Amino acid sequence: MGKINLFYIARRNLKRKWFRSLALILAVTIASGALFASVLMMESVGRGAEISTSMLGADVMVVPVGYEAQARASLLAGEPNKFYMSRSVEDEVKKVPGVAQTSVQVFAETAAFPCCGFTKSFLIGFDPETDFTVMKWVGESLDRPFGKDDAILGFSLAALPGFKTYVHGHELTVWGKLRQSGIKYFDNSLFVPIETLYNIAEESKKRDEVAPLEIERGQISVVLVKAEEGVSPDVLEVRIEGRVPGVIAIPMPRVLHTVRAQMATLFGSLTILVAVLWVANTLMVGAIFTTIVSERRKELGILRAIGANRRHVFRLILAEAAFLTALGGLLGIAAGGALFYAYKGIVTSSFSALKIPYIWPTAAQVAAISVFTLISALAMGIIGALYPAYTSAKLDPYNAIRTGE
Amino acid sequence: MIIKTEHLCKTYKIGDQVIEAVKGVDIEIERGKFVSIVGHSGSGKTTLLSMIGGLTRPTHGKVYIDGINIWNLSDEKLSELRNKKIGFMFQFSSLIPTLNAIENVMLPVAFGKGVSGDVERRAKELLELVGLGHRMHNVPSQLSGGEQRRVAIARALINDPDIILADEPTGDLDRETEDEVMELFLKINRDFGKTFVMVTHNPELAKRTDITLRMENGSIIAREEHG
Repeated sequence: MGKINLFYIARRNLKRKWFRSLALILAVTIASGALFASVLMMESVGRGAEISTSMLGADVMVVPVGYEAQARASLLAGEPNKFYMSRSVEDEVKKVPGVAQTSVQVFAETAAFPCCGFTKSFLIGFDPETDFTVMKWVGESLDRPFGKDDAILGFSLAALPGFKTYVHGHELTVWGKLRQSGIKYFDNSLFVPIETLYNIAEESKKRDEVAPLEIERGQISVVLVKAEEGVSPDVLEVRIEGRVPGVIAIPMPRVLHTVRAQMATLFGSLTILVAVLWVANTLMVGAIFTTIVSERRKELGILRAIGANRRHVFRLILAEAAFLTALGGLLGIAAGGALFYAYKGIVTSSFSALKIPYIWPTAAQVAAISVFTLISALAMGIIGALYPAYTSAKLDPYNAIRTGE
Repeated sequence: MIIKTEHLCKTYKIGDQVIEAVKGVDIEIERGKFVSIVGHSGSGKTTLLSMIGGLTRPTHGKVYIDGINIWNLSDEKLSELRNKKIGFMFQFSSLIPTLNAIENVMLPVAFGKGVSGDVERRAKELLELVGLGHRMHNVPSQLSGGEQRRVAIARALINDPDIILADEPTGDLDRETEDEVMELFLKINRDFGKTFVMVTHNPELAKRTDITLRMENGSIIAREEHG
């Protein structure tokens, strides 16, 4: 048995009204579960957007006017979209002061990609000479330079380097595979040199047995721009749009901001619900512990008589509240996590349908969110019980003993 | 003197009415004495005891325990003094219902500083001393009134205090149990040299103590020494 301490006394006290304790634990479990699951989802979406934009390595993305949303969907959700402008746009963008580097990409959708189990895939033409987006993410590759009839596959496409495949009737060799990113734009795409893509398009239109690829030589979808050091993406946006007609420049930080705004809309009511649950539970803890202090006046007086000082009594009440809400918090994390993992498929496909990037949280993220949830549950108990604990500590011992009789 | 009071007063204000519960009490109690305080209900004896024990702050006057003016101490120091130097006994069952007998006995140790030695062994010895060695794992609801009172005696002794303050400790007990508890008090007073101050209604019990202080209307009106 050893020495008994405040925490032991607190735990034993909670057993006496087990139904009341259980009800409070369950209420905190629900609030903590909702908090854990919603923060996990929000963080996953935020991380998806951050990784998408940072992997791209560009400060600004230049697209034809009117295609801002499609460009964003392609980048964030890996959705194949077709929008084109003249490659001469790149030359004009290069001339804009503050532009350090540019690279172009052409977006297409391939209907036939028989080697790799995908019937539909995002086909992207890129310029290997100027690229700063694709090549740096290549994991395994053939032991030779990237050639004109080579392709780089996203991690999710099931083919290894050295495999041959046909895209719209054109034979390509899988030269390399990208590392896993969790971002569809990279994981589900097939990257080929831009000139090869033009060739594929021209050949496909001449052959009856393959579906035509409706791209004209000299067309591009986006110009990816790196800013000079010290030039902000917002400044570059204004300069590009002012100097290059018919385009819209999208600063990457704004893409992130837009995703966060989408998240705020999507999770707004959930956030309010969680906040309301948190406040309601905190008030409930306050009400319950006010009753507990009132019921146990005599006992608290006796504790003071046998040597407990005000701090002991204050800490005893807080310990009881914190113990209950921490238990509720742990159960909430377990329940929230279990539900989240049980509905993993639904969560992922729902976000995909909403064209919102979603990347499964890392173990470190889950651990951090669990700690946050637990601290939040503890705060519920401590803040809620603060006033009752204060009043119990202020009780005059003799009065408490007499009036509690 | 282990206990000394100087012009100790306590007044309560209830609405417009001012009630003088204790009026200028001066007492001196020697170490190892068994003192009883008797008087009618409302005579101020419990209030006096609670001021001596550091539970109720006097309106005026001083209380010295071992030469220390206890009402000059901070809450922390006063609580420490209660924990180390004073053991309390109350009229009602003062045990914590969720703790068993031995845990109740060990309870004051949870609030003490730098307690050394085997607390559990000492708690068992004290329960043996009060005749409850076989009931140490019973919770208060499984104990009779007399047994609960004896557990409270063991608890009062766990920190080896110099003073035991008892407020009508046998108030709701039957005659036989009351006698058993009183015998235990006398034994502890005699064998361990503890100073007892006991508030009681029972003149028979008071006669068995060394000194009886009679209170009326908040003042001590008589001091009787018993052979």
